[in-house]
Amino acid sequence: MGATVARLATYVVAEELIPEKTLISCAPAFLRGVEEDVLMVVKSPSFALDGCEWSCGTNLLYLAGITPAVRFLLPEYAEAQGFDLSGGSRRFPSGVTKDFSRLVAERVAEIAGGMMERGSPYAFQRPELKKQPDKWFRSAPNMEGLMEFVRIEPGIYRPTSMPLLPEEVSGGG
Amino acid sequence: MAVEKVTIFPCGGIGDPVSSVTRLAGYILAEDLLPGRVELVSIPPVITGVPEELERVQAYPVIALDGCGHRCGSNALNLVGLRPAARLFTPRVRSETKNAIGRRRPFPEVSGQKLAKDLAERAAVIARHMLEDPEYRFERQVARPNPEGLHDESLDIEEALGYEEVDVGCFHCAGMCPFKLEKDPELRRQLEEEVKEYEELDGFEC
Repeated sequence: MGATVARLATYVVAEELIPEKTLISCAPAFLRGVEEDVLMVVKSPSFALDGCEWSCGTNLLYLAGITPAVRFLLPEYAEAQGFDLSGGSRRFPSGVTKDFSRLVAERVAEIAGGMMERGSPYAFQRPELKKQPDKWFRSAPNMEGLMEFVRIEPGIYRPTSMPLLPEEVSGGG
Repeated sequence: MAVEKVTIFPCGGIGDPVSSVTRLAGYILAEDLLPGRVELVSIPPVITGVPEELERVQAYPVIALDGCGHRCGSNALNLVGLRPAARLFTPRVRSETKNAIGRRRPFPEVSGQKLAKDLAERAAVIARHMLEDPEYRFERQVARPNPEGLHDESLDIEEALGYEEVDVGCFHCAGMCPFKLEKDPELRRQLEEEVKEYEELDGFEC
């Protein structure tokens, strides 16, 4: 279910809320080496929308030497926002799946908007793509032991190695 | 001997509308046509090594469902050293059925839903053979990192996996047990009569 929410939220951000300033990197195409899907995550800060604690979105980036600017852990965010995803559909963009994905999209757009705002102090440094197959198959829930995070709010995290988000700097959020 | 279960492995994309078609085909197969006998597995947890998902693609034959010319489903399996028991290639299936992929990504338009059914029908025929034919043979595979083709689209995945097209859009992979393709009118009837097509979903136009 979380994966479906992540996918739908991505479309809402890219097609409605921040069109033309949002790029959607496709994980399988990124692994395949499709140029545009690789360049996106190297040239711009990434939001990882993790559908479950296994954190595949964050982990796939990590395995390539890339750290997301922000990580959403959707089940935790859903609970904090009062959404019960247990009755949602993973197949259809309807009901709670649709409603919650819009909320996620709006929060993503809010954070991303702060990063892109004129005069924003947010500074992104391009990572270098790495091939690290020696790190495969070592999945740990919530990237435990692999990546450290600061909790911005329940369900939303910033890796400690990444720049402060504008709303952290200003004390808002 | 036949196998206990089959795994369907859709391309798992997000940017191209065809990925919504392959994903829907996976749901139709696993939820409508062969529930309990087909497991739907996505690419990311296999690469990252989520134990349950990794077990499914090692223990059961995998039908890879490539959505477009990038062939990401096949590539992902190759990245973990596994070979698909069968592979469907959406552009080839589409060329025969003439059902368009469409433009919408959250959920396919009706033509894309029909194409998903076309894919699911072929996958179901193949899966049923694997599940029911006592002569079908499958040996458990062992996943291992295989960085050949990682972030490198120059790898010819068709050649790497030794694909051979045995029917339009249906490919056999070298080294795997051949599968049969016996079309079943009952399957087509089930798809047409029991799997609903949507023009609108919860206020969302398809």
